[in-house]
Amino acid sequence: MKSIRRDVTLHCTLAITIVLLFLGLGLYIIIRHVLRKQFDHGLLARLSSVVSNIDFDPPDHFHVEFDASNTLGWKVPSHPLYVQVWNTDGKVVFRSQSLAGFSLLFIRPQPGKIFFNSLQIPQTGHFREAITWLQIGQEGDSLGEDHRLGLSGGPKNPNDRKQQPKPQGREMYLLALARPMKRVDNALATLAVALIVSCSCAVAGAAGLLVMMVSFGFKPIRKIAARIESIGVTDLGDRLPTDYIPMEIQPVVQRLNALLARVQNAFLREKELTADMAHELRTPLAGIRATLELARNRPRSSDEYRQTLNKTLALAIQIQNIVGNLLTLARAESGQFTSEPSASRLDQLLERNLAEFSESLTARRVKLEQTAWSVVTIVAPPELIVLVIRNVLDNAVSYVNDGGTIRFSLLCREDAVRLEVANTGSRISSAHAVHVFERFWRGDAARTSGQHHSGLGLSIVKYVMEQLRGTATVETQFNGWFVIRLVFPATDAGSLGP
Amino acid sequence: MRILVVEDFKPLRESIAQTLREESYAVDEAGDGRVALWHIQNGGVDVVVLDLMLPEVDGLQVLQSLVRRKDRPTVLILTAKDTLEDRIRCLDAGADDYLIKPFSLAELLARVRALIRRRYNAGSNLVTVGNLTVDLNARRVFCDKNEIALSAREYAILEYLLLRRGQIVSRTQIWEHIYDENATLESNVVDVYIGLIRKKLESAGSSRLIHTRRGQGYLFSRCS
Repeated sequence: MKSIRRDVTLHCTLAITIVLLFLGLGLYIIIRHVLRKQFDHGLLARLSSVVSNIDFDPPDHFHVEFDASNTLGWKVPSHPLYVQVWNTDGKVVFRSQSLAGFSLLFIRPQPGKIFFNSLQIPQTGHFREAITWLQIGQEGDSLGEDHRLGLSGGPKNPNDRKQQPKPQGREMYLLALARPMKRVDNALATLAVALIVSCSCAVAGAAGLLVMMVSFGFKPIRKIAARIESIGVTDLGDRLPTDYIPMEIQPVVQRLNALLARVQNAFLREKELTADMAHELRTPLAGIRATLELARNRPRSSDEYRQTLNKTLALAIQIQNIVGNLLTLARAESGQFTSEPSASRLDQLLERNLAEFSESLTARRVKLEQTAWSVVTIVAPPELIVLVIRNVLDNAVSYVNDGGTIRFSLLCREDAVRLEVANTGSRISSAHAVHVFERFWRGDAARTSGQHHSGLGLSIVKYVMEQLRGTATVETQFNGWFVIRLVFPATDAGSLGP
Repeated sequence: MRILVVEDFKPLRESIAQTLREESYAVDEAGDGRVALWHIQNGGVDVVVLDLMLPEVDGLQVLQSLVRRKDRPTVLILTAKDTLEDRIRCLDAGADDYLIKPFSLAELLARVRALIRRRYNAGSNLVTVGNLTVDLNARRVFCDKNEIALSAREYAILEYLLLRRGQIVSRTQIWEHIYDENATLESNVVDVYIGLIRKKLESAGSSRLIHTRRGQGYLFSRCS
């Protein structure tokens, strides 16, 4: 499983390792450079000292008096000094005994320059060699103007023997001096080991500290996790505290709190729905039970039994309507009506669904009126439109008074399609009208009418209209008119006018 | 005894009312709170079986208005609301009992009987006066262990007089508590029933327990 703590620790340790590696390497290079520079300066000092100790016997007899001074420590056995002198032809005119049979590297440096070179001498090791031009005067033992450094201007082209400078009474030679770099190498090796060990320890220590710090850094997350774990179904009103939460986790906590609020609302809605369902189903169930118990209490006539059966059947149908509407509402809310929007003729749907109530309306002498009627095409999922129309018509037909009127108005405006269905005989006051879209709310007329209504029809209408981005409103008017207004937005509406 | 059934759901109201009538109670029906208040103001109601969710006037409002009356009947709340808060609210408002839908008719009848006993401070199911014993639950009357056969109406009048023993009960009060609004009464029907009850009790060996107080009514007592 992916672990942020492990990843953060690994990545940070890797980053620290790389930084320490580069720092150590840089430090090593700088120190090595400084040590070599110092070694080269020491070599130059010894070169000057050698020049001052040269005993020259013309024409080509050189002798360096090593015993004259040991101020520069060139008699230390572990760090011998190697000296070799060539004339301009490359002929060796002097070689120190310490060289034995080995010869230093012969190179002609640029005029006025000292050439430094590293080389390996067999059985002895790593050496550093410095080569420079040496100018000897005719008088024999006097050195040139630059003798202290063992330097001279040298030939313009060091490799061209014909052009080699031969100032009057003076001869040019090449002087090479070499010393072993064992001390420097040892110091560098010790430095490298120290750097490697210290860097490794630093990386290990940093990794350990990182584990602790990351673990400490994740403490708020562990607290949140523990808090979330403690929230049960009955504590959905609780919220995660935000006061001690780091800024980086604040958005997560805020989203979680928002999620908790949504879950709480959903639970409350479900609880209310369950309570409403239980309440609405209990009354018809009590009716069924009381009716059956009454019939069973004593012998009855066949007519009485028939009445009992009819009454019980009517109650069962009422329960069936409630359950059916509840399922419809649940399907609508869970998005189970998934048909694609398509064009439907709203006027035709109204006429077709109204025809199903014609028998009942005729029997009750209900008049149908149209104050405005357009041919309207609406673009929406057909099953949702049918659901809305059926419930609106069912409501009007159910609550219109005998001999009353149902009035329709269907208009297609530029911005929307407006459908009005109004019926007479309403006993709902304007104060109660706001409740008609609530689940299971039924006006007094509905309670006493003896008809089989669940109190869910207009809740379904309201919910579906919201899904269609439309509106559903009601109004109670003078003389018992009850008006339902549906407005379908322009994006879903269009018109097919003849 | 006279019982008012207040329930807006007609099939249920009719079943309850018929059950009570078959138990010889005088039963009035109300489909909303306003009609219920009208019945209560007319007087004579012993027990109100009251639904809470009612049109016009809410059941709780009906309850609050009737508990202020001097002759307040006992009240059985019959509702689908089953939460603890609902029960506490109703009992605190003055209800005497609380029954949740759906319910058994036998339980409803038992609770109604208990409320009648409470209204008249009967205490026990068995009420004994001299050698006469009345079983209020079984609705049977005994004289020295011999059962006296009474019609439903005769038993109802005897029970009412027995529960109000020691008090003078007027004919009007007997009408109010024994007959519902649908009864068509003749002026001397109570006197006729009283005569029949006396005759049956005394022929079974009981002393005269129902005494006439001229111009006032009747008195149920061992001594005249």
